Amino acid sequence: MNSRSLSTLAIFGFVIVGTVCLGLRDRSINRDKAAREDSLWELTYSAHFEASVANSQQETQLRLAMPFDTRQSHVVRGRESWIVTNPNLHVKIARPNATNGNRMMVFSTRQAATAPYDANAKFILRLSPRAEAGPPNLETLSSRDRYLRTEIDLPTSDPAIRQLAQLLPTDAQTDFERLQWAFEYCSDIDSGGIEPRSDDAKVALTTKHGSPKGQARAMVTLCRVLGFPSRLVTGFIVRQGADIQPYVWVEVFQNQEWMPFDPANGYSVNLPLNYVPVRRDSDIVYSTQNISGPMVHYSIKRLPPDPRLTQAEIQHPLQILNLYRLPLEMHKVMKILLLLPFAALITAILRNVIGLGTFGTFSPALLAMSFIYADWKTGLAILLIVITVGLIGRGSLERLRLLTVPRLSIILTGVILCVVFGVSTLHYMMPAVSAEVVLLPMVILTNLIERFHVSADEDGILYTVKLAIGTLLVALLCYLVLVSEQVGEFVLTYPEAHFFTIAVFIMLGRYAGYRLTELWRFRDLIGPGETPR
Amino acid sequence: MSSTTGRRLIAWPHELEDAGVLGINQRNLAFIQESNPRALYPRVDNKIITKEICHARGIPVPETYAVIRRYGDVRRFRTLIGDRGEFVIKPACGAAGRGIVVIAGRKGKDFETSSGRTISEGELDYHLSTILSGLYSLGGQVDSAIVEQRIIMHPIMERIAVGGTPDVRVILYKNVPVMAMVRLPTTQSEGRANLHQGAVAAAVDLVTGRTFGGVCCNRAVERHPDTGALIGGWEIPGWRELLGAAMKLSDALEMGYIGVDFVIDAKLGAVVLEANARPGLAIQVAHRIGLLPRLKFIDSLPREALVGERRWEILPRLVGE
Repeated sequence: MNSRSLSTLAIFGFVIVGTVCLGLRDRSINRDKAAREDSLWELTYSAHFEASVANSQQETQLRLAMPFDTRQSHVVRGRESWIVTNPNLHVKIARPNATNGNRMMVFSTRQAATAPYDANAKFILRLSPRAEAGPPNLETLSSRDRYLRTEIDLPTSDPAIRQLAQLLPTDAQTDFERLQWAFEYCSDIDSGGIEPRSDDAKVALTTKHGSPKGQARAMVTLCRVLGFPSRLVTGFIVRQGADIQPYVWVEVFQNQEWMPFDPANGYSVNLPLNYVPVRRDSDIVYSTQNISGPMVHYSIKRLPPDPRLTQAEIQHPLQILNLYRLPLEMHKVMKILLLLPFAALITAILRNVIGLGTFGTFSPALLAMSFIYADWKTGLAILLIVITVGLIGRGSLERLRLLTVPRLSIILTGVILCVVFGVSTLHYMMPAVSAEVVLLPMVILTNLIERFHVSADEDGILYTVKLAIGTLLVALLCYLVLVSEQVGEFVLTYPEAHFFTIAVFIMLGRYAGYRLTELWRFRDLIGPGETPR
Repeated sequence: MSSTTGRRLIAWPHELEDAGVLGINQRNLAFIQESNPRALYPRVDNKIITKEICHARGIPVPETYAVIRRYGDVRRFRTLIGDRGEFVIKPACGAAGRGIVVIAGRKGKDFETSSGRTISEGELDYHLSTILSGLYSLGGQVDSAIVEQRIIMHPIMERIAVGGTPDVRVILYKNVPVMAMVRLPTTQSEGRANLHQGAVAAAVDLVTGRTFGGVCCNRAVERHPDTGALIGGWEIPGWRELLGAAMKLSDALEMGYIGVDFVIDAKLGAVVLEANARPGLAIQVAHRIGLLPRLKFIDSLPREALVGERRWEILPRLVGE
């Protein structure tokens, strides 16, 4: 196999390995994130009821609304469970309602039982702050009229309420401003106090006193009067508890989506994570048929978190691959180390594709690295001092006729003294100066000064200045990449991204095309109107 | 072949491709890496080894007066050179003519360089130690210094040379000469015959040894930038011998893509100065054509055609391409 196909193979190999590693790491990071941020809850419905009819012609039914997926809450599939005490009681899950998507769990029997029935249903809920946990609330508005109509609990045709709608301030121009007014009006309804408040929408709107349910009903009524399709939503505010009451809030169809509002607690457009809806377009969780005295209790229990979180401190060799677990003070060094290959990549591109010449191969990249530590102004000031003094010093050293190593050592000492007293001087003038500039790579600087001097002597000042400009340009570009905080975060999280870097290096290494500067260099080979060769 | 009218700022890659121009990347990948085994590099990078090879094959080189390998030898330098008034000091592994001092005569205890500068014994000793310390060597490694015969410039060269000795470079691919040029020092190059330092070069016709074309600072030129003299149209003396020596050296070096540098001595004729495993590409501008068609032509020939005297038959076909 020749070097060309071997290189191609290597490129593919590195890209594939890189992709696999990135994918695995990404999955692992997402799982860790889920373990940290998500919470699992068990929602239990316990129903106790009797059939109210004595013949088997009519069916007895209890329909319980099941929680459904939203942006933030997710019902864990396959972990719903139910228990019935009476074998005659059948359980089925009804198909989702075509209009509003509600899913109901139906307990039914045709037996006229003497004993009361007991039914029990459990759901596991995953609450996640990451939006991808569930589908967004994007079901379309199936019937506009349906969500504008008047209902017993939502008396939109009541003249007192219609008159109230006239209070809408005239400066509310947009739909959203009108909606906001309705929300604020209903939020202001007082639900506090000792005496029980009314659930009635009209009472809440006209007296400005009402229960949270009354507030929700009031808002839906008001919105419908104002022409906004809106509905009630029943669900739970998830928290640990043996006897949790369902809670009712509001959804208004606006900007092509159902936006949630909770006027009683003052939430609009976004609800807290723990609002889990179970039934839309209704303010009760269950409905019945031929049943007397149903008693439904709701309880919620927090389940233990993911073992990935609780057992994270158990040592595992694979943790070596996770650089983020290292102490925070090591992050900066690690990041800069991991960024260096990118600097090398820039160097390779500028040298082999553009065709810039530099002093030394990686000196510009290392120089740029040191500027990340110091703030660049201090760094530049010191660098200029060092180079000027170094070049003058190197020139005068020439007369002493010293051997190379001692001569280089003198320049190194001079460079160090320059840096140290340069920092001291800068500190004297402006005490806020960064001391990390002493991390300037002195040996590299020493070599740069020596090479500059020899090159100026041997190759002429023009060629040397060209090299110096190339060096500065590469260093500047490297600095711009190295200084980026996001790129640093990225490589620290996904160090395997360097498999791709290696693939690019192989591609660059096999690049046999012209360098950009050669288009200029060989321009005289292409004369106008003459055919070369 | 006008070089002054309608000059362009850049050439497009497809134009260079059409002209068969070899770029640095392709040279490195397809020719140097493919044809020059790493292990053989010392043969060209170290002039002491190159000279030994030349000696063994009877290829003329400047006579070596002394090789200084250790700092201790520096003190014996004067006894080594005796009372010679003319000699050249060069680093064994130097690149691009760095660290070469040409002594043209003596002034009492001091020496005088070819450019007329006076150098004291101490300065010469210092120069020798800097060579040994590796200041001029390719990787900065410890080096040796060669003291050798000074070349007396051939009279024909004197007309066009400015402040230094011109040299002739032959590029050989698979031991066959593919292009040649004569490099002439200029004021800008400070007497050195290196193109990147500002020297001027004229292309040499492989068959006739006559010069034509020219390049200076990557521009196509036809006259010497200092004297204004035409650099084309004269013949390299002893051209056939020079090419023969180049082929012999290439055979001995066993490297596939090299440049061999000669100087023309008034008495000895063409002598080998050094060989180079990474010969530069400006030679193409001097010729006004690219190297690739010639390299591909060599590749198209059977192996038997590339050995011995049969190679002479290739040259007219190469040039005629």
